[in-house]
Amino acid sequence: MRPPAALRVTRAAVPLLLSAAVALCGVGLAIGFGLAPADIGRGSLFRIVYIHVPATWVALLLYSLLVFWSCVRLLTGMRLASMMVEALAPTGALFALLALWTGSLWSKGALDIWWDWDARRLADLTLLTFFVACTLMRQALDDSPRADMVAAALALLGAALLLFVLYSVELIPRVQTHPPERSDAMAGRLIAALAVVTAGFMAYAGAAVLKRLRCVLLERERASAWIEQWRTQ
Amino acid sequence: MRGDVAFFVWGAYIMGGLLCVAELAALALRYRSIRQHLGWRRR
Repeated sequence: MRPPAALRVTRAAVPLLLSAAVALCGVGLAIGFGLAPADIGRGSLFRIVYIHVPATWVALLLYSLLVFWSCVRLLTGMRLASMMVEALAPTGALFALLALWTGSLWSKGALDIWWDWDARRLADLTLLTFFVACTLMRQALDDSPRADMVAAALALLGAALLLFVLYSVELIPRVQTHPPERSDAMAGRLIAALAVVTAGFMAYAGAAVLKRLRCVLLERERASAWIEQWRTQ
Repeated sequence: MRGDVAFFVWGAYIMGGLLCVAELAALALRYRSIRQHLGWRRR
């Protein structure tokens, strides 16, 4: 896709995605707080799951997209790919921070510790570190092709580390809480709430990334002739 | 919901909401600043 087409797409998609995000998150949280009963073992503390799990999934999805666009940038030199990397990283950092914060709240409530060296917690920390590193690297090296290359390479390094950490879930013994006890009906409502909130978070992430892409595009291409043509269309 | 549990649960949801609102506000300000810099009026 060429930059003018991307500008048109972002203009149309952002309000739609934001509306969808508000509606889906509202429905998902209503299911989580209203319809789904409290967990037998953990009580209402369990309701943190309805925000922690979707935040982690969306952070992982955004990191996958970051790696994809980094590969495209490194292999083809496509301008839009660098802009996507720049647009994805801050929203990814937001979801990774949310996953880390909610994970800590869960640990404090369930185990009375703010931090445990669990592989899942380490994966959240790795995601946050590399999202922030990509964002800062892009700003530290200013607006240059070299900054794009370094940010893309950093994203790939983070992916290798993240795979190692996720694989280590099987290797590192984790702090065990007792297994959850729930009926089929509870499990159904749990999955429904998780699915709807995840869809809402994805819609929000899409809106924020496209809005930032619009900003990045206009900042980087402000001297191009097509910007003036597009404006006067 | 017990008091300490409510603190953890609402702490998670309020943090999520605040982060999203802060990001959207920052993006709106950034976009407005770019438009002003380019000398654009609302189309």
